[in-house]
Order: sequence, then C-alpha cells, then structure tokens
Amino acid sequence: MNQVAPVAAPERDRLRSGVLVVVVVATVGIVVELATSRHWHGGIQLIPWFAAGLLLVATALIGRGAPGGVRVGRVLAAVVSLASLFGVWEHVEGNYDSGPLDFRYATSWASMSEATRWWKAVSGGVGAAPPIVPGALALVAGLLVVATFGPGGRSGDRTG
Amino acid sequence: MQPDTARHRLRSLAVVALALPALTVGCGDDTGTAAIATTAAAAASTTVGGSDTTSPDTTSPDTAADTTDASGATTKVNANDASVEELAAAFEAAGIPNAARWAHEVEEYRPYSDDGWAHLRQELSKYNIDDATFEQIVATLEL
Repeated sequence: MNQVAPVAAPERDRLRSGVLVVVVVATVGIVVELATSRHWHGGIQLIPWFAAGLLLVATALIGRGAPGGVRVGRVLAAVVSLASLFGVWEHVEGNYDSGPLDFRYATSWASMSEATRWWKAVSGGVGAAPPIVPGALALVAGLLVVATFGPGGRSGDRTG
Repeated sequence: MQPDTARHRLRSLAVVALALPALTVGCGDDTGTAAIATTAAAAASTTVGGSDTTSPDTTSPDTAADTTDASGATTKVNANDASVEELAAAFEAAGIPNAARWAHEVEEYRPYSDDGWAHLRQELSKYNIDDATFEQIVATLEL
C-alpha cells in the first residue's frame, strides 16, 4: 500500500505552488497571444478565451484548497483539454479549406491526394492558422492536473 | 510510497512543469504576414471613392475590365457593410476564383479603414494570395 511521506509535505506544497504559478503565467501568455492575434472573429474564436478563464478558475480552486476544489479543477481541466483539441482541429480544417486560395496550389490542389492536402494543412503548408498552437491550452490543463497529484491533491484540501 | 521516491517524483513534476511551456514557444501565430503591398495603394486608388453599392463606370478602364459583369456594369460592394453573400456575388461577377471563400475572409477581417487596403492585404497575405487576385478583390470593394 502507498504511504504518505511526511517529510516531503513542505517541499510538495512549494512545488505544487510553483506549478500553479507556471500554469497562471502560461495561461496569461496564451491570453496575450489571443489578444495580439485578435482572436475574436465569431463565436468559435471566443472558445479559447473561455477556456483560459476556466483554467484560471480551476487554478484558483486548486490553489485555495476549497472543498471539492481539486475534483472541480480536474473536470474544468478536462473541459479545457477538449476545447483545445477542438481548436487544433478547427485550425487544421481551416487550413485545409484555404488550400485553393494559395496561389502556389491554385491549380494543383484539386489533383493532390487527400493525404498530401491534410499534411500540408497539419504542417502549416497552407492556410493562416497555426495548427498546433491551440494545443497549448491542453498542455497547461495537463500541467494543472499534475499539480493535483499527491496526498494533498487527492483529498482536495491543503492539509497534507 | 517511500520518502525518497516521493521526493524524486516531485522533482520530476517540477521538471515537467518547466518543460511544458517551453514546448509551446515558437508556435506563434502569423505564418506568413507578407509585406505591405506596393500594389495595394495603386489598386485601392482606383476603387476608393466610388459611390454606393453599385457604381458603373467609376473605375479606370483597366480595373473596370476586371470587375464588369455580364451587363458591362462594374459591381462594387462596401467592404465594411456588405454581407458575405453580396461580397461573394460581386467577386463572382468579377471573375475571382474561390469567390465565396474570399468573401468570407474579407468579412472576417473587418473593419477596414482608408489605409490603401494595407490591412486587408496583410490579412489575405497569410493565405498566399497572388497580386492579381488581390487587385481584383480590392477593385470590387469600396469604403
């Protein structure tokens, strides 16, 4: 059976706090990136803003050790991860759809294989959307979940 | 879990915490923001100043030749106010390929100001638009 390591508790708390600080800094960075790229054209482009907000709420819940906060924080992180994956898909699909607009492929896009088209969309060969960037939200959400590991994280309080 | 094991896992957690944000660096936006056009101002100068939604014979002969519909009238639409359908119809009449998709892009990057279509060119350059198509588009637009 697993046993709690009592001598590790102060260090664990410091590390957990450090991870939460990194989550906040990364989330703020994402928000700044969204703002500078004017990521607010239409409802779908507002999703990462809400996801970033959820991340900050989840961080606050986990950081403050509110009852049930860890559980809610993990659920919110999961929601953010799904939104992040949806964002990756949206970017890739948008790039795919804009293939014919690229003058380099205007005449050849239709004759390309599906695999080639999708590869260009995924790799950034066509389109304006950075394909992988939305995944940053999932990375930060994963980091937030990692911060809930350990005895204090499991119980949802900060007594550990 | 032994104390040493717990401490080792916590240190690994810290390493992961520092490494994850680093992975995201370099995934910035704007894959292809091309230089502001030299042709945009020239193209815009033939279009800005037109009248309402349809304004026959308000452009230079060269531009008009690119934007005339079957009846010979130049179709212009307001870049800030026209619907996507109106934009697409105007682009289609001008013979612009992928008219509907370009209409969507023009609508997405509103509003436009009197900057010689520099903002529009900056946004459409991300899609590697060719100069001829861009000039056709701005020849169809007005502010």
